[in-house]
Amino acid sequence: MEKNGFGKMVEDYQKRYGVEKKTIYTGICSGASFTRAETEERNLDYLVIETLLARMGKKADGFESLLRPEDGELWEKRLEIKSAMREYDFSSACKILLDYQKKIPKEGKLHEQFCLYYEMKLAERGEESANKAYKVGGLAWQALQLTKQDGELPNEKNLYTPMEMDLLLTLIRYRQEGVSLPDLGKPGTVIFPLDMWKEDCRVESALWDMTEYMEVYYCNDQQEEIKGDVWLELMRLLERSGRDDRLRLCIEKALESFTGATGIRRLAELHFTKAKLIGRLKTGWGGNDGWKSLCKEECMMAYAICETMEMKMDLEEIERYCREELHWLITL
Amino acid sequence: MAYYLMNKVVKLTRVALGMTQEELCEGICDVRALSRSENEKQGLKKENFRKFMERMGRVSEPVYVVCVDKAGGLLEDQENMERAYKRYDYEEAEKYLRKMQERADDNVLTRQYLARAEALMDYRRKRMGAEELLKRIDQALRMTVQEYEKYVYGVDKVFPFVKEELLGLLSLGNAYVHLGQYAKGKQIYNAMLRCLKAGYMLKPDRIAVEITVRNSLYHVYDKEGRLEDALHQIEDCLQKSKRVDYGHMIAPLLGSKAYNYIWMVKQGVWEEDKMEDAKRYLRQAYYIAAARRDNRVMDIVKKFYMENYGCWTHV
Repeated sequence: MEKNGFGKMVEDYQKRYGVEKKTIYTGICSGASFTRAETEERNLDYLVIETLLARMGKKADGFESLLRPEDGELWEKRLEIKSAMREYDFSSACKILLDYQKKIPKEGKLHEQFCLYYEMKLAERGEESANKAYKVGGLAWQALQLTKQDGELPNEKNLYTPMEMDLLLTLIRYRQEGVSLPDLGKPGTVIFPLDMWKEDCRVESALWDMTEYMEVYYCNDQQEEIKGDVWLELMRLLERSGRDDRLRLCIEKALESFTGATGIRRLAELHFTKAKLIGRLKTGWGGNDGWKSLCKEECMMAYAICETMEMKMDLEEIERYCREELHWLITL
Repeated sequence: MAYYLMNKVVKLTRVALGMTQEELCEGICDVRALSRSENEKQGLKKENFRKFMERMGRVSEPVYVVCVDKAGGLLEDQENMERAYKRYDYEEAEKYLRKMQERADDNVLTRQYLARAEALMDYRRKRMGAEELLKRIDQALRMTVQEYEKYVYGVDKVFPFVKEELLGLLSLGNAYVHLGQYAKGKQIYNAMLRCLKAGYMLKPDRIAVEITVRNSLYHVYDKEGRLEDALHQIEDCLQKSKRVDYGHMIAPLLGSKAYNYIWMVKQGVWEEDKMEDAKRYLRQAYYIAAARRDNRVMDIVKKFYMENYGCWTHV
């Protein structure tokens, strides 16, 4: 019988990055299960393997997996949910998610995390309400707690999957809202999980650390989405705080990390943010006077992507900006 | 990770090899268990799955790695090579290929992957022609499916080729097209689409492979002067690329769409007003390529634009 290569891969990864096994599997599966998978005595469930690979920031493309029909159905539903969310079709995403929830195995922590993650995403996209922050922050916290209980940030001793990273980002995004949640570890008490992010300087430092972490551990195309999210979160923070010099550096680094990327959706927001910064500074990127044409070029890049990818809301925002700030009717 | 459905893979392989359910089950399990799984009423036990696949001469692990090195790691250079290849930086890609060859394990899947990669590299770097490419891709394919041609050139046969095998077939089809044997190329592409339609490979890989096949198919239609058919394939690729955010394909596809529009106008099939649509597609293509910092596509699009519309107007 052939060996599946998983154990060898883990061994090589440990050597290369100097990480302990525990940092790979903690929260995902037991040490015993991991060892059995490593020695290839037993195959782990496809979702467990995929999550372990995600922790290692590995190119799961190198793996091939044969699924049972019920697992195949769940896998396709996961994709449909992701795709509906990407196309802003929230009612379909919600319907498929409900159906998915009915079909997941009872003791499937990773399936549960997936459900909570997309409930959170849907709540975030939902209408503004008084308890929105509470709901979104609460769901993000619950989901993250399923696989990460230590509250430590990503580093070489604490690897994060892209989903865990996004949950952490959401907690950072809702940090000003003072969300209190029941402490599952100590019944009867509440905790304030978002309080640690109250200060902007702490958040900025954490986000820069996350970008560095991703440079090392998320080195392939498949992590593009989360990479973009972290960069954009940092850019939004710097934009709000008016720290244009750092914002400029951030944009350039982000665009550099996206050169040759497969996906293009995230690039629209990156280029539009760059355009707005040029518009605000009213100087060219290289200190010359041609800021207006440079700003328009950046808008055109964002516009071309949004138009092609049918990103209507973003398209309208670019049109409005060009009309109001640049007195220019943007068109291809 | 490419995902496949166990039950469909077993059934399609068995039928393609011409085995009966009884022959496959002998000494392994009750025929009813296989029958229920083939009818999707029940899952297969992993142990039975392994035995069936071994009997049919296919990879029997439900999860496996395609490319591994002697020390056991996944070949990280594989990704760097593929990236460089995507950027058309063959020199850089070759450096990674050589590193992979030094470290590669001797298992058949790794050998097959490297054999195809090396053949394509030699062809791209003009060290051999399409005839030689054909031979070497053919050899690579036979490493895992000895009589693959039976399933490709038959009219209605389906074999559950895995991703690497499908990519091998694609290279084979492309080599025939480069040799001017369009009919043979199309036969291969259509066989691939037929297999993908059987649904044993799950999304998004199924869509990604389909995009590359249709992309090759439209090039053949273009060469044959069947511009409307080519356009149909381009449109299909574009829609699918948008759905899976296959962004690196979008600018070249928009450029091809514009090219076909312009030809249809020049041949008098379409009215002159379509030239404006083509212009718009070219500008979309240019700015998407610029957003990705893809200078190669930017230059091609701009040159083509200027040939047809005079000067390029910046904003």
